[in-house]
Amino acid sequence: MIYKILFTCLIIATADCFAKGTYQQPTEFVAEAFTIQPEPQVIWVKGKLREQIENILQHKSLSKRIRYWKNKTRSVWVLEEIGKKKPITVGIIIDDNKISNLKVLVFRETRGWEVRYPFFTQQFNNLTLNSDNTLSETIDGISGATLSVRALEKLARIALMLNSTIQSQVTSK
Amino acid sequence: MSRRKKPFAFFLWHRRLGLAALLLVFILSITGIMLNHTEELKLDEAIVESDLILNWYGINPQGTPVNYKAGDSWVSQWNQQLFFNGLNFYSHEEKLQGVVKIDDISAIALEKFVLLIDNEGEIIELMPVTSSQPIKKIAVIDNKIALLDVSNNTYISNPDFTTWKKHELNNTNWATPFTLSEIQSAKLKQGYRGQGLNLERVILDLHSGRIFNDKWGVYIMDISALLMMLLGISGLWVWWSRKLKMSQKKHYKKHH
Repeated sequence: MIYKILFTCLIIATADCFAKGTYQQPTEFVAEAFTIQPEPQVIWVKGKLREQIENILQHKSLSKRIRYWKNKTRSVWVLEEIGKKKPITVGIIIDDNKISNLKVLVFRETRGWEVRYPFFTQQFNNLTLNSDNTLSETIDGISGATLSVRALEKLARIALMLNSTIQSQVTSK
Repeated sequence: MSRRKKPFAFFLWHRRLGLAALLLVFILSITGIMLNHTEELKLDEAIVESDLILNWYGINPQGTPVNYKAGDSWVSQWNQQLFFNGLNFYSHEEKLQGVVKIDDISAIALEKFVLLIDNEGEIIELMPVTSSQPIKKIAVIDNKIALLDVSNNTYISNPDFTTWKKHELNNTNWATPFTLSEIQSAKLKQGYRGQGLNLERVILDLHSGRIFNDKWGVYIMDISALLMMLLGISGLWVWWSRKLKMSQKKHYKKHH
């Protein structure tokens, strides 16, 4: 009986160890996205853009400016959103206004870590943004990881929206 | 012998129950009376200042704050909480290493990040630093942020505060901590404690038992209420059995 309890505790502790962690440093993620890494640029979150971001987040935007890396039609974003209690850091690569890679870089929560697996993140590939700032396809959730799934969806929408904002800024120039 | 032992044993249990419930029943009764007169006693207006109680509630800061000036403003860190002019605006586990002000932006050096905030204390960006070593000092040079890491490497930002590059620095005025005035200390303490803790909350938590523990504290008071009921029943039983015994004695004396 004692062995069974110890074994169960070990399994739980091991699962917890696997759950939290830095899967890739944000700097490495950005470096991998380009042959020659461009200098970071910043976009100021104010006015209508701030309103739109806060609409997606359903709470106040924490940062007044967001940094990104851009080369031709590719832009890379490292964004954070709270899952249940702690922020999840996500790297998003956008090519031609479509998500080409979404990766969980740092996961700090004890639950919902399944969102880091490719079977889940691959659903975001090739998604675009609808005119009402929703994703072009529905994302299948994971039971027990609803808040983490929701956080990743929000970040994907924000990245696409920011990308379209910087693209329109380039066009208007 | 056995006929005398039964009521005596019951009386013993009645006494034990009474002693066990005494303290809790006192708490329950006194706090109940106080809560009935909340307005007259002004419990909701009285703010608890006792360090013991505030520590118990976990809203009393431990240790001393680290403070830096940023122009006319000041930034403090106390127990991982960051304060701008005494108001809590961010929480970070890394230690505060210094603060500088450049135009309308305050740059707050943590060990691996520089936090940029505006004049209202709103966050502009949590800016990562290039150095792999923790930062230990921050300064301003030509309207740019300068950093010194624990390996004595120095870095300087670009004018937009987006990138860093290694840079040799000499005779730099690194930011140094300062001591808060009494008014600032009081404001910071108030900022840490938020709205504070009023006496009504403490009395309510004492009455419900939640002051002992959020989860099982209420059960302590439930048990004390049950003990009080049992005490009433056992008291009634002791009184009834004595009355019965007395009448039996009277009856025996009368007929023998």
